[in-house]
Amino acid sequence: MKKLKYIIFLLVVLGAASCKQDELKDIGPARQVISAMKGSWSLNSVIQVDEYAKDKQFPFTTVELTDLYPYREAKLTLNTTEDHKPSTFSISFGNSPKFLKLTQGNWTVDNNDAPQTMTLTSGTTTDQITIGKYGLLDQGQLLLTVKKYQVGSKGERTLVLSNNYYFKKAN
Amino acid sequence: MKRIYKLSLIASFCLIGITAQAQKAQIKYTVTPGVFTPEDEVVLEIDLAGSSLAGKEPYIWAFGPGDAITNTSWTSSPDIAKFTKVADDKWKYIFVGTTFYNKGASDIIGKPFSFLVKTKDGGIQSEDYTPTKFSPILFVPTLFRNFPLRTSQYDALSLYLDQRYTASPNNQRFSPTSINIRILDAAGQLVGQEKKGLPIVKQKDGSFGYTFLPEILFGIPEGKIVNKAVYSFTGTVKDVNGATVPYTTEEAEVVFLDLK
Repeated sequence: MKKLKYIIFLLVVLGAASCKQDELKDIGPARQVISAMKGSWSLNSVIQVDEYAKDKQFPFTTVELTDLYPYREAKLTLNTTEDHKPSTFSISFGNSPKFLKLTQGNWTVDNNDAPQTMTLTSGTTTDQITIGKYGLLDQGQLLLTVKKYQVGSKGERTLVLSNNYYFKKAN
Repeated sequence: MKRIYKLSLIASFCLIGITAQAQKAQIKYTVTPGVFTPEDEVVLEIDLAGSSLAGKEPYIWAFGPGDAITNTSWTSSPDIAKFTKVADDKWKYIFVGTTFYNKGASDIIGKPFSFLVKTKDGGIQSEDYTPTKFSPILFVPTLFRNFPLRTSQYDALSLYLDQRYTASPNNQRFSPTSINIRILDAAGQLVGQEKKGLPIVKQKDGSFGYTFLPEILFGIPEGKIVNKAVYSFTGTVKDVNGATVPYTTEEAEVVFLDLK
């Protein structure tokens, strides 16, 4: 019986000694979203989303607007500082509908490492835009969404409509 | 003598008519939200300044899906019909459609919200106003449909006709070809020119549609606020003799909201 105890103890010690710490795979450098956004972009498609219908699970939630007007003439340029912070922007609409108030000025984001909202500013005028999925940036695409809210009697805001602007990197 | 008597009688009736018309006050109002379901809380704000109701305590008289619970006696409106003072001649009234009309949502959806403002004794009243219809809570397929359901004058608007959802034989069987659209400001005045005969496109689901940006189609001047779009579809239908004749549906409308 005593022998058996020693054997079990020995097996446990050997088992523990044979454990080796697994090396975790390197997840790579953090995604540089601002750097990826830098550059010239051409508007490729425009999709209108009925957020009110989507929320209520109604049918008919999107309409493609790209070919309705010459949206593809819109070009966006985003510049950054040397240390990869947002700086200036310009947008030329051509014959596309002017879906933003501004054509040039400065752009900022809510968080430089993981931006969700982008603000275009010139003087006292601003445009607030939501930045879409970062994964699209890897494919040379940039999704910018202009959201529209219905304001209730107590000032509460309900998202009812989104206009999604898909840009592709211009070379 | 008889003739003079008749003429004076007619004149008196005309005078009574004109006086009654003159007593109908024109007031300013806003409804928040601009589009609502029977279950949404709605705030109706009125401004009586400059009208014959200025300085008076206003009461609501509402109709559309039937009489509201406030419509008890024209000459003695109840306290529940009284507006709440905001400041000077500005007043507000808050309601939820289902309790206001004491009806189920399904009895109210699609019906207009109509109201007038009056003094308690009904001695002075405003004109009738119908800002909008009650929106559905659940999706109900109908002859007319707009996309998106909540929109502003600055966003693309799609208008659809689905002939499967109508009880009218002519609406079911006519061959649609185009749409007529006009846009109106809050005073009901035409903004830009009415667009007639705009070509519609057959959709995958069999409906017909037309998509446009109001500010481009109508050249809305900068800063001009547009209240609604009114539209009807046109085409041809066979008459009783088998002849092809023009046909236009009834009108439908979309209210533009001040989206932020």
